[in-house]
Formats: sequence, structure tokens, C-alpha cells
Amino acid sequence: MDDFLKEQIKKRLKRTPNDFEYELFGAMWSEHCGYLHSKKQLDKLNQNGAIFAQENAGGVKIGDWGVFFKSESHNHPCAVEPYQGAATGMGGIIRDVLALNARPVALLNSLKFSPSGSKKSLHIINGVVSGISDYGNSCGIANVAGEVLFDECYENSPLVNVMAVGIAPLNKVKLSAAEEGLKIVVLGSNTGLDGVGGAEFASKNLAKNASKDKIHVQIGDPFLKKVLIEATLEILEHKGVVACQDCGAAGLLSSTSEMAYKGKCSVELDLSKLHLAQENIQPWQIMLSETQERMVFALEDGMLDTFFKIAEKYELSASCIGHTKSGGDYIIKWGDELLANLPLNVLCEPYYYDLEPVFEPSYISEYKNKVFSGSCDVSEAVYKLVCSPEFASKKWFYEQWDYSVGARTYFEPSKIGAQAVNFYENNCFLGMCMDSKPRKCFLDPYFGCISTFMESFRNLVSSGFKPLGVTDCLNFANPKSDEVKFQFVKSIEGLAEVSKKTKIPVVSGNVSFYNETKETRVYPTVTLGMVGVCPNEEDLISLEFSLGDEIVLIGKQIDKNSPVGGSLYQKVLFDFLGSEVDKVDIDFELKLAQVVGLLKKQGLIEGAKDVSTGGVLGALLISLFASNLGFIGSLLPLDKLSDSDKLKYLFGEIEGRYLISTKDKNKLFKILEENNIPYLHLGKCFGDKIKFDGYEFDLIELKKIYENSLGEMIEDV
Amino acid sequence: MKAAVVVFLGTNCNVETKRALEDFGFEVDYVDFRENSLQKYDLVVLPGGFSYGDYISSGRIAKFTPVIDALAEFINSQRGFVLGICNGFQILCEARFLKGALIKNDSSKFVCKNTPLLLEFGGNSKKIYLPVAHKEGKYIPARDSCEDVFLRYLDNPNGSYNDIAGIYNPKARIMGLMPHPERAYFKSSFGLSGREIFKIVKDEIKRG
Repeated sequence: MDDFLKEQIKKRLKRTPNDFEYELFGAMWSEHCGYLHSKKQLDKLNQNGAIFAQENAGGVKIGDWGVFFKSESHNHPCAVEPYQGAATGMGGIIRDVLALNARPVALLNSLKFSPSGSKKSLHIINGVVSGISDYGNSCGIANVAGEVLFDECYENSPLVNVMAVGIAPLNKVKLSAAEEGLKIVVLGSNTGLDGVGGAEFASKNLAKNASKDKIHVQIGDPFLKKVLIEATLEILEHKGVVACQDCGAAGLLSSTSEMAYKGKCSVELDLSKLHLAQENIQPWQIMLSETQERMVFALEDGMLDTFFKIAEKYELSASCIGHTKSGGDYIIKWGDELLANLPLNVLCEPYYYDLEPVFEPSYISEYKNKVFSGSCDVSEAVYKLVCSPEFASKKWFYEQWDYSVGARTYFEPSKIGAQAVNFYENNCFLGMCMDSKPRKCFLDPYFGCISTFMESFRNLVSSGFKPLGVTDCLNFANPKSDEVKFQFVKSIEGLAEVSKKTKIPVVSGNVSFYNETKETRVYPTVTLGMVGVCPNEEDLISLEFSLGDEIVLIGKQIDKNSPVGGSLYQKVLFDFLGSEVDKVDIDFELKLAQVVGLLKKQGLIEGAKDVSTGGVLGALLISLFASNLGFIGSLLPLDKLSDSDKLKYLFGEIEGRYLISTKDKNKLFKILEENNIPYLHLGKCFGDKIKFDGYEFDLIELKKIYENSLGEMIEDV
Repeated sequence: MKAAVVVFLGTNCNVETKRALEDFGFEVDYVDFRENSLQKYDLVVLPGGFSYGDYISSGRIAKFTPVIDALAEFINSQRGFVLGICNGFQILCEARFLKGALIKNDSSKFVCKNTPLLLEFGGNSKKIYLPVAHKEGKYIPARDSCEDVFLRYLDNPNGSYNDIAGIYNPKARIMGLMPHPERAYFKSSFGLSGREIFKIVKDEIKRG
């Protein structure tokens, strides 16, 4: 901890803390736990319409049920120990949802890696993917959707963002605030030395030789997690349980202190009562241990017997380590020895930095003014794009993750914009997706963030859902730098604006700073997870087209002058990043979404796909591959175009577009015209060749490249 | 008809298996691994999951639980029908109720996909789709003899011997399969072929 923060602590305590107390502050006042640089900005976000947004995970209401979701990053651990880092990232996010007495029903992830193919990057990819596989599959929570992006900026700092979605009847939700006169009990793993100091480790730049940081990485046990989930849900059924917290970052310390602080009471713990994994563990290490698979409860006295009986039934260790009482203090003892006595309003309310005012860094206009002039043959571009890691099928990834356990998953992962999860308890389907656009956020943090939001929004709309809420996972570099401050503040402003205008609240979130090393710094990476609802199976929309369907592009139409900065084809084909990004027109997007809903109700949509990465041809190819169908038609205007312009029309990424397939194009056109929605009839699904404007591709051949290239890249080295 | 869905610590497909069986007309109880009698049931199902984390190897620890002794009694007394799905199939092989073994996939990776299969039962043969989700699903037959094969992969996802996906011992009335019929039972784009498996089970119970 730096001297400035130490001074702040002394000033507010009006004394010098002892060494043990300093350790507690080191964790609670870390960026990871305390949100020191982000709190004041996060307060700008729109939470109107969210429920329990102040809890471990916030949610939205559907009928008498709450749907709770949150995203979290596990970037630093994955950089040094990818397998355990990814596994425990899943573990942590599951507990956040579980703590509310919500049964976790789906997991999603957003992963960012380097495409370099270096030994290091492949080690990270393999480790993260098998960590998610071994942990998530064993827990029995389906891994239903997500995204994998590739950019060189993630070579040393991979980003691993995970999201969990849980469901609970609203009258059964448990909160995290304790009250006076309760017992504090811990359930689950024996506390050991794993992950000690993890929160602080995640609050600084990664060192060049990070292997010594492995001590800070937690170790997951998916079997124990599965048992812990069932035991926790059984315990939370009882009225005598007042509060529940998961043991995540800064373990026992953050869970017990927050419980008491939120409940406006004191808590007193005797660490000698806790079940431990080893002798020779110091009290400060017990407090800061991030041993996985532990939950903390505040119970009424009368509930203790039942609690221990349930623990025994599930063969889990448990101990009663303290109690709450009136006051506002955090009191830690070892037997009779007093180790710490701190006011909770100092421990739990760190010093919050102001990031503002911010100034536009010079790179913004420098990149904006870059002129793109890349040009190549369209056929060559198609082949290159289809096998590029970011565009190619993520089959190699998702086939290693159990996406169908629970029998709630509606679509195969290759066939979704947003996944549909059967919420049969409430007679509806939940829609969910995770998206990010780091290159666009780098070029224009404000509109890049809005663009990210809209991609999630369109993914849900194109799958038949009404978007209800969003969770944000903000991955940035060092917040002390002026450039990062600007990126962060502008991203938050963008998110706040679009969330307000669309009335889709931010229900929960997570911030990860310091994703940089001496050599590389990540793009400002705003990952959003959005959840929506669809009442009937009949209203769900797949991105599959059927034979004979007419394909129509609806929404904003691209032209020679459209801004397409941040488009994937520029990066993949010409290693170019720059020029202006297209700006979202939120009102138009809302109107467009309404019309998509109307068309579906009228039976005029067979399949639909939002148009994003890879532009209109990218969207068309993904749908054709999923449908095993060819296409014949035209994607380019009739005028004579340069190769560069053709690429822009085919692959350029602008906002506000959907690709839909229909059996009755005339009726469709009529409704679009009545609603002033621009459209373009592209062609028809037919045969096994993809033909447009004089170009021809073999469906089977191209699909094979699309499906296999990523696995080959990862496994062949 | 009464069915038991056995729940070990780490079992995770019990909820959807129970839902499917109930929908198919069974009266279903969850049965804890500590239970020592199964005699009141017509059908005992060992569902999928990771019993005891599949630590050491899949099914290795589950076979030492009390309910396995109860299952032996259930089988020896010819009380009813036994169905093992995925981890349940692995446990049945580990406990030697079915011959053969399930070992790590050729890819040495977990594989989750909706996969085409050939269902051959009672003289009928039919192509169906069911989801698979396992890391140790490669079937190796015992040296002396092989059980009847009723389900084969049409696109072998794990390297199974002779594309074997499911086997049946009609005499002892024990059936095991790696694919998950309960995941292709409810509304989803995976199809409804799972019902075909439950129908076979029901018919076999009725046949007695």
C-alpha cells in the first residue's frame, strides 16, 4: 500500500494501525475489493429497474421470480496460472449468484487471447479452456454462450471474463446484510494458504516474471463446489438464516466485514475456531486466504443445529467462528488475544479517487485521422477472414464445455445470436449473450461502449428476446495513466447514456484495472452480458435460414462514405486500426427492434442474425454455415466499385442492421415501408454454392475452413 | 411405475432426469447414496454427472457407496430394470454390473455435441440424435464377451470400440449409454429422440 493511503487510514482512524490491521487494509483498500479508482464513476450508471443491485449479484424481475446475474474478471490469475485462474473465476461468479439463494442455471464467458501462436499464448489458451471445461462441467451448470476475441494486445494480459445467471423466487431471496445478535458460521473447504493476497495481486500491473505470483492464485475444487451449491441452497431455505456471503476476493475478511457493515452492526470473530487446512498458518493469512468453495452465513442461535446437520449430510466441514452485536466495529481475536478492532466505516469505505477532469489523449485524433486504403481481391479476403481466429467458428472451444447439462439449453452454440435457456419454472425463456468491441472502444471509448451495448441488444432482439438488464465487466490498464482515465470515464458515460435511453439497467458489474505489462497494454475492453426474456418457444428466432428463403438486410444501409473504423476485416487483412467508428442512433435501434418484433408476430421471419463482426457478408456466411445452405444474389450496388470499396460494402461494420430470412418478401417490404425502415433484398437460399456479384464459393469447402481453422491453429504447434 | 433416481455427491443430471421420467409417467423419488434398499422400485436410474468429482477415474469412488450393495440385491432378485446414463453407465461398468470399461476419449478432451446415432432395438433400426457430454466415454469391451449393443455412434466422438454408445444385458435387464436422452426430451433444438430411449425402458419393464 502506498504512503498516501496509509496517511488516509491514520487520519480517519486517528491512530496508527498495528501490522495485522495494515494487512486487512491492504486487502480491503485494494483496487480489486475497494473499487478505489472506479467507484465514483460507477455511481453514474443507471440502475433503474434493477433489483438488489447492491448485493453480490443484481437482477431483474420476471413475474414472481428474480433473475440474478453478474460478470467477473479473472485476468491476473489466468496470466500466471491459466488453468486454476479460469476454474476459480467460474467458481467465484457462481458463488455470487448462489449467495442470494438463486440456483445458478447458466454460465457464459468472454475470452480474449493473442493470435500470435506463441508458446506462451497457446499455453494460456489451452489452460483457460481446460480450466473452464474441468470446473464448469463438473459443477453441472451449463456453459451456454460467450465469445472469444483475438488481438496482440492480449499477449501478456489475457482477459477471462465469466458470467453466471441464477434464478430464485423473489420471496426466497437472501440478502447479505447481517443484524445484531447472530452467529457467524463458515461452510466448506478448510482454510489454507492458497490465494493469500489475491486481491492485492489483482490490483497492480503484472510483473515481467510473474511465476512467483502463483502463490496468489486460488485452487478450485469443482466437486466440492457442486456439493457446496446444494448444501447452501438447502441451508438458505430456512428462516433462521439471515444473511449469506460468498468467500471471494479477500476471503473471510471481505465477506464478514461487508456483512456487518451492510447490517449496521459489529462483528466479532475468533479465528482459533475456524477449520483450517494446515498448521503454521498466520492469523493475517487466514483473513486474506482465498481458499475456494467456502460460504459464510449469519444465523439465529436456534438455527445452528440444523446448519451443522446439513453440513454433515453433504460431508462438508463447518465451524461457528463468531457473532454479531450492536455497534459498528470489526473485532478479530485469536482465543482471548485481540488482533484487530477497527471501525467498519473506515475498513469498508476506502479512499475513492477522482478520475475527472479527463482530457482527450493525443492518440484519439491521431487514429481518427488515419486513412484506410487497403485493397485486395474479394475472394482472397473471404478465405482470409473465414479462417481468421476472431471470425472462425469457436467450435473447438465450446465443444469442450458442457452446454447442454440441465436440459435447459435451447440452441446449439453455432446457431445463436443469444442463447435461449428454458426457465420452465416461470414458463418462459431467458435470453443471454456476452459481447465486447475492444478495438472500437479504443478508437472511441464513448461510442465504442454504446456499440458494444447495441451488439448485445441486437443479439437478443434477433433471437426473439426483449432485453431486460445488463452486467458490465470493465477491463482496463493502469488507472493512474491519463489515457486510461479518459478511456474509463468515457466508457462509463457511454454505458450510462445508452442504458438510460433504452431503459435497460446495469444490474451488477466488475472492474479490472492494471491489465498491462511493460510491453503491452490491453485496449479498453468493456465486456457486457445482457439478459432478456421471451414468453414462448414459438417466438424464439434461430439464425438458421431454410431452403428457398429470401434474404433481406434491414436497417441502416452502408455507402462509400460510411465510417467503418474498428472493422475486423481492416485488422485481419491489412493490420489496420484507425479512422472513425460508426455512431449508434439509439432511437433508430429501438424502432428497428420494435419492427423486428412486429415482423416475427406476423410470421414473416424464418431466421434472423444481427449484423456485426465481418459486416453483411460475415453475418450471411455464419447463417448459411449454420443452415448448410448456399445462396444466390447480390450484395453490392450496381455501380463500378474499386476492390477497396467492395470490401467496405461486404465487410464494413456499421450499426443498426439485421439480416432476416422470409418466405413472403412482398408482405415484409410493405411493413418495412410503412415503418420507414430502409431495406435491401439480397437474394435467396439455394443449393450448395454461395454466389454473389460474380463471385462463387463452395459451401462445404468454406464451412470446413471456418470450422476447423481455429482448432488447427491451437493444436498443430 | 415407480422409479428411483440415485443421487451421489457430485451427481448433476438428477433434476432433468427426474423431470423427464415424470413426464413419461413414472412416479419418481430421488434416492440418496446412503440408501440400502431399492426393492420398492421398478426402475433404478443412475443419472449423469461427476460423482465424487470423478476423482481417480469416473465411477471409481461411487461404487463403494451403500446404494451399490442395494443395487446388487435389486439386480440379483430380478426386481426390475436398471438404466445408467453417462456417469451412471460408467458406474455400472466400474461396479461390474455391465461388462467392459469406459476410458478417456481419444482426443483426451471433454466433448459436448449433439451427435447422430443408430438405435437398434427389438428388430427395428432408426437414426436418432442425442447430446453427448463426457471426457471418459470411449467404450472398451471385456475380453471374454460383449453385451448386446443397442446404440452406435454414426460419427464416433470418442474413439469407442465398434462405435458403441450404449449396451444392454436383457437377461439382467441392465442398460447403459453415454448419450443423454433426458437432454433431448424437452423443448429444444436438440430434438426429442430421448423419448425413444425412455420408451424402450418402459416397454422392457412392462414386458417383465
